[in-house]
Amino acid sequence: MNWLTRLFSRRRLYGDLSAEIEEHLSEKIDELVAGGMSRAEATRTARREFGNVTLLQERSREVWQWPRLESFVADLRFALRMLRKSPGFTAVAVLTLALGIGANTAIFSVADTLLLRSLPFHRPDQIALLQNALVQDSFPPHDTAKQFHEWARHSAYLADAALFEGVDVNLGGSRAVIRAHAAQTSWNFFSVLGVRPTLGRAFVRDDEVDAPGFGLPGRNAVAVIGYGLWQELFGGDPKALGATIQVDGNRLTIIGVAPRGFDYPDHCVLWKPAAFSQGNNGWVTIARLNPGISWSQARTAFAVEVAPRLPKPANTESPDLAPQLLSLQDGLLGPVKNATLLLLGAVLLVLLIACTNVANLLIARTADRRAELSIRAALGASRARLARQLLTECLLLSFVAAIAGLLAAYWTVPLAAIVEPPPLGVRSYSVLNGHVLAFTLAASVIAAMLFGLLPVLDIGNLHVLGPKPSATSRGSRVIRQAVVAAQVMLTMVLLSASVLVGHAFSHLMSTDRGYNVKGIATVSVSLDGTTYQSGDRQFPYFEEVLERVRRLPGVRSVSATEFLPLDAKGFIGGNFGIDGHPANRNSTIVPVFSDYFQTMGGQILYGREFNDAEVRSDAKVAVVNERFAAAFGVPSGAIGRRLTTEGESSRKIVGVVKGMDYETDPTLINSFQVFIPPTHPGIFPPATFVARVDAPAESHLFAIRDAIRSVDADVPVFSVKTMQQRLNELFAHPRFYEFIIWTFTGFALLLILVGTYGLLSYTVARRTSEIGIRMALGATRSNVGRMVLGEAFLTVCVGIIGGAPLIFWIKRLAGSLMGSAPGSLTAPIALGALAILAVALVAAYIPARRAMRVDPMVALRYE
Amino acid sequence: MSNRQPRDLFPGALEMMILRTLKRQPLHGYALAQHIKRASDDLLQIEEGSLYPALQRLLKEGCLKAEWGVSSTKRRVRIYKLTPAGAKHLERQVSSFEQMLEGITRVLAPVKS
Repeated sequence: MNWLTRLFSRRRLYGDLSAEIEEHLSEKIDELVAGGMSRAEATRTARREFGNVTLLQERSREVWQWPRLESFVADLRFALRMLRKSPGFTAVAVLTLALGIGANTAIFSVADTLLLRSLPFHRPDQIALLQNALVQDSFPPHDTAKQFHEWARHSAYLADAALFEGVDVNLGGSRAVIRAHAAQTSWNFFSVLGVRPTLGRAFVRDDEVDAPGFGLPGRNAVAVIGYGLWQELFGGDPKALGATIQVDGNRLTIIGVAPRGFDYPDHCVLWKPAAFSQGNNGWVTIARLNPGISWSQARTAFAVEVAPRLPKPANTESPDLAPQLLSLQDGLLGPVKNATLLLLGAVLLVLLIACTNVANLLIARTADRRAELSIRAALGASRARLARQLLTECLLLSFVAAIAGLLAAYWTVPLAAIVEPPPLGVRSYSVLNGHVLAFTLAASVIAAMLFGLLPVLDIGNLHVLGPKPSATSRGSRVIRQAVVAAQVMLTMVLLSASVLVGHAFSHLMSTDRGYNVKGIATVSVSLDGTTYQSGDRQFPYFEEVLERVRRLPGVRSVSATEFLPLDAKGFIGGNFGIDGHPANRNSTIVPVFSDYFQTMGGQILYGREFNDAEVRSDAKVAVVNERFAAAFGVPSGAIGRRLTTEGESSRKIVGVVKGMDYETDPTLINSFQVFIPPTHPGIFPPATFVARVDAPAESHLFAIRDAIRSVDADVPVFSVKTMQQRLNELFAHPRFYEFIIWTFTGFALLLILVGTYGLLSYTVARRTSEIGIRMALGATRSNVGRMVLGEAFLTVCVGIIGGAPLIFWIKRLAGSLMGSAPGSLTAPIALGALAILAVALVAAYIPARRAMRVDPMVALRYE
Repeated sequence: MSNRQPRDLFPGALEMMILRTLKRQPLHGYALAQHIKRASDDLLQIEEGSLYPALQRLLKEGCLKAEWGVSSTKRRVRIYKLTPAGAKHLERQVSSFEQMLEGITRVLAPVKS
């Protein structure tokens, strides 16, 4: 008999089997009766000597089956029936788990894309980023092309190194000028990354020049364009090679097209060969490690190489900028890496809490199914068999939840791209990949084991002789209380993390940054490549724009600056001093027009800011911030003194201001700042106009933009935003983290509500008769209510006390998530404890009322 | 109540006894049980019912054939018969059992003396 015919003849086989066993028993009974026994006695004896008929029949049938598989299928079908039978329980459990698993899937898919996927370069694990901002003496040497390549060639630990400098440029050619990100790179940039152009060629050694600025013309005037730009401008036509494209007004010949998805660094759309010049400190260095050199060896070699070039005393103000050799992947991720790991931790906590909740529901259900389970045990099901049945139900629950969670994650994950754009070569975050699906599967199985464990252990209390709930319910009640306490503990951690993060975030948003964020409209322009590019035409353009904007209704004052606070991208600094005494560290130089502080709502402490006449005449005046002035005596005393710097004529200090935050890094905020009028000729091609307007600021943006355009429509106008919008964008990450953490916490609190409610209503239902007796013996309603509330209070307090130590540990993590030092711990602990207690008492209210309304007579009759 | 009673002395022993009994003559389940009990002088405590899973195993392996028939007491019963494959299987089992037994006896012998 092969397995197929066996499968089909099974029904007959089973029929034969039971008929045969029936015959066996009846023959035996007949024989015993013939031997003089009564029929009833004979039946009992026959059955005893035969053994457990049902079990033996099942054993016999199993011979013909794939027993594990078939009993699993049977379990599964039974589990489905059980879940359908209690739709309320199923819905709550599945929803709880689906949210937990879905959130985990979503966060994991982002983490997977950000942290685990390698960059689309050749052997990305060998590519290093040199963090060398604080190293002096232009390291690596980059004054000339030759110097740099010689250095790279002689390096013992690097196979090769490349330089690049990212710049925002005006891109013109076929259509309207657009603002785009470009980079000038050393010729070997593509080969160090191991990337080959899809079309045409990369740069060669001769494309590099030693010349100030952007270099050009001649061999240097070539470019590799990005795949997207190629599609956009040329429709993917190979004839693009040899065509020209205008970059800041310079004609570059296109020699290559980068592969699809390649946009390093920073969403770059165009690369041109480097022009080396003395004193350019905007270069970023990437390198490929020598094969056979380990990362730790390379790090040591790098540290040794930079050690003699470090400033003395060492700059301890910005430890994050300490010179080091990073893997490019880490370098690109920066703080996002820690944040992602932290969110992953938080979301795992959520899943754990969800599991405890479902475990709680399951324990109650298992207790209610005691009768059913006892019967099955009496019929010969072993404890392991019952455990398998229950675990199958758990797995089923978990899988249904995993599917729902996957769907939820599928729809929500792409939202993450708004805050954290996906890295190179990845178009968006998605849950549909092997890693993520495997993670979800593992998460759901582990979750099932976690929440299934306690109910299964609870089976141990089963008494085969029949349902005797009162004897065993105490044990499972203690388990359930412990589960709720654990839930409270975990939620405590999440909640205090949320409070910490929320606190840090509101601190971030409300910090006095030295200007009044409200009511400022900002619009940026770039004169590069326009008819105003030449030095002597820039100033008239700015004056014209300022004049037109000033005349707009609702505009109170207007000014312009090279770069806004918190946006020190084009950072320029210099070592300034007073009366020939240099300060002990560099100052940020901010060129601004007149009325700048008035417009920004800055604080002028002593003296005044520049006036129109000074700006127009390029007067040698300056405004310094309080910190700078304080380095040379009382701040007010700086007025009238000379601001000096090497190689430049001195300026008269006319004002001391509070200073503004030009850096987002809290450790760098409010360092030395020097404000000067724009120098003539050649002010600052990219600049931002700022206008203080009547509220709401948004409503004035377009009028201001149009006024600027009306001066010359060919000048690209971009970043039309209120200052508040800029701030929001800048802090989009912390805002997102705050939102997520609070969402998680809200969910956890909801689960506590459900968990406590479930625990107490279960206890009240179980103890109805006990409560009835108590009342009959004279307990008042408030005694009973207090008893129920007391149980909630006690359970929650145990959890809170247990969770408190964990909070100390979470404190540091939450701080690093928000990029600022966390506040004190007492507030989060107190707030967390209060919130949880409040939730627990709300949850206890209904069961307590139910307990108080117990009618002793009804309760006792019930028994 | 325990679910698993000692079915036989060692795995395969019950099967071996069934085959040996059926080698002499085809029997139905009840008769088979009685025969084994009697032959062992009730030394072996065998649950009668445990014959049936063993019979199903032997049927599945092709050592036995079963046919519905009528017993001497005029009952409709399923009569089991040894197949040639079953006979061969029995021979192998018995010889390996005897080998094992002999081995065990030798190991135990010195202790007894």
